[in-house]
Amino acid sequence: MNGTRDTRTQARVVAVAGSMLGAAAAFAPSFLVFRENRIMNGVPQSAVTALGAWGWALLGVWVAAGLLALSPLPYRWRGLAVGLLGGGTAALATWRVGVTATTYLADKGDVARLSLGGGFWVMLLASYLITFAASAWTPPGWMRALVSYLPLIAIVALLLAGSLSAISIMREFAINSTEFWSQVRLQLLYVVGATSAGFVIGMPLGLIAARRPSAEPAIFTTLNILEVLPVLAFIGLLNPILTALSARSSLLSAMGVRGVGWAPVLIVLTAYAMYPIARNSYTAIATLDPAVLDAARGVGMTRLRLLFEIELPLAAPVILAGLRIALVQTTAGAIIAGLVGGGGLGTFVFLGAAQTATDLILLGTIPIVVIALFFDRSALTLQRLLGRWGVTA
Amino acid sequence: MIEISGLTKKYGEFTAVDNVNLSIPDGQFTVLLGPSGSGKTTILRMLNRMIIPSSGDVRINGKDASAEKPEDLRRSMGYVIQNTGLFPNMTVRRNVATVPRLLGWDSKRVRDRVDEMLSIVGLEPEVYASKLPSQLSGGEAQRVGVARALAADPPILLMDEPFGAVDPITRDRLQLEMKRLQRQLKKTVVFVTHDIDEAVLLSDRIALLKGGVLQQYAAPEQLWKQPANEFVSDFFGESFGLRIMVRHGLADIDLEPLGAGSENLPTIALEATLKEALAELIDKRADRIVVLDGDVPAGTIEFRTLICALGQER
Repeated sequence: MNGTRDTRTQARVVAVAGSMLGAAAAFAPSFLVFRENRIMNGVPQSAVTALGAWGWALLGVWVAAGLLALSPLPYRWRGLAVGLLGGGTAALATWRVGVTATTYLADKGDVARLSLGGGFWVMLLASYLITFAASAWTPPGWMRALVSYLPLIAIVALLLAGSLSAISIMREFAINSTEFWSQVRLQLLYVVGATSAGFVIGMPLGLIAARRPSAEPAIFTTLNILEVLPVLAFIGLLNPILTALSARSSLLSAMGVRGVGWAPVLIVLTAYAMYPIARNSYTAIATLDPAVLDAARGVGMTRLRLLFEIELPLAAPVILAGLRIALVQTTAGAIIAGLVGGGGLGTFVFLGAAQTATDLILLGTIPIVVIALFFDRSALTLQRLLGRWGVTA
Repeated sequence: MIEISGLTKKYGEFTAVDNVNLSIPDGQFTVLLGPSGSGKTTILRMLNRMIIPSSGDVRINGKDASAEKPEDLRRSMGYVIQNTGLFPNMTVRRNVATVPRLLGWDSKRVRDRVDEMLSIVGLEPEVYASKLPSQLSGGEAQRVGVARALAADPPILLMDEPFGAVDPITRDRLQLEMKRLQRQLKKTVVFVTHDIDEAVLLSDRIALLKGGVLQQYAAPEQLWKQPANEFVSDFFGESFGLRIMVRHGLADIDLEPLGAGSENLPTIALEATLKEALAELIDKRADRIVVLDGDVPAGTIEFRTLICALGQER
């Protein structure tokens, strides 16, 4: 129980920090950025200026959340109140920003842009901190679920209802929506393709390294070199090879293998994905209890049975942790495809960077973060399940 | 019958086992005893070819062990090691079922056998079968290890310091149960230990090793009475005779009739060992003790008879 009490006390610090950060964000000079059109210089405004009375109301809620966090209310009720206030402000602010954008665009026309500024993102962070602290106070169950997910659900609901469609990033999304989904699909193909290939090659390499200590340095030196090779240099090195191969083989060129495009990207991402998977497979197998392996051999298990009944089930959670790292790493790494004609969400990122259009960059980045988080969470869940699956009745 | 002849294992220049010859009859409990580095574990592991001998051979019932597939050879021998080596990802039931499953028994037969084996080693199947190794105490885990080794009813049982890692009280209990189990099952057991008392208690014969060389292979009584060399007598030490007393019971010796005044003497059960009787005499500062068969006095035994019993026996 001591541990819980400590966590709860620490959570109070986090909650208060969150509320102070939120209050500060309300005064941040750049909460929203107003532009008459996409390429004009923006005019930043703070929340209290841009949202008027609502801005002051937000400020009040942040202060209230901070005071509640310090109050002697029982933890569960304190968590519920603070969590709903902190999370609620984020949803509230988002809604008001949507309204402000609609009004602004009605006034200045469709070419005008209202972008989210640094202050807005800091406010979201503040809201996350408060929610995090509040979820530590509430008992697991409906209370914690409410505190953790209600703000998120509210914002998604606003998105779906179209209340936010006048905000710049949503305008960019609307303009690019067909392309957006096809690029998301391409991004996912890169991630799944490269990670699967990395798994198929990397795991056996890890197993071989664990089985044959003499092969271990050669395998990991190679994988290390590939891992530290800068991505553009790597693609540059592959360019002449792939160009030559494509020129010689009509099959390859028909598949679209060229010095640029999807082929070098997939190869590079696969090479990067191999390392964490091979490393974790190696560690998982090499650190198995020697007594267990000795007993398994001693009772007459064959190599293959030993591998499938003992080694892999015991190593699975660690190998899967490597797969998880590879998934997240590849999700971010696949951005590079946008630079070398391979498509994917990187297309928006690099286009946005070239046009200094922050909202376009975010249109590429936010889904990448969401995809990465999704992979991370689901792999983690799978990892936990696998820990239990490894057990044979 | 296990026949070991000229068995040698070299690691480069180092000779771990040097030209060992041993003949182990069926149903005998043989202990390989010696200080660390004496090659006892190496010999054991050469029996099931976990280690390949440099030269010499092992014959089991006349068949050369190296002629068989190692997996088949190992399935015909139970194997118990110090750290149990239970598979942590499998329940107790699945662990015990390992070799029967490898041998392709049908599931009903495997199930019944697991229940039977757990009962034999003193674990209730309903309580223990579904537990994981991590939920067992050291003593329970080692019992499961023994149950796993015996599950397919192999004629031979190899045990490598099986009780070396459990606490002394549990070890004593496991040793006694091992003795009971062996009386019941009559396996050909090869047992490695460096614990003299354990060796003396459990063995039919002890093979004493030093530096990979067999020093003497005999029953403890003979090792005591006729040590082959100075190392043997030094190894077992001054109190060897006292240690051997645990091997013999009061039931084995002739009792003297109850005399006058015997009602004031201390008493001891007929099932007790000579060592326990001696301890009781010392404890009560008596020179004579009444032996009870159940509640009935069966006779008495004198201090002198007790200490001469070993020398005269057989």
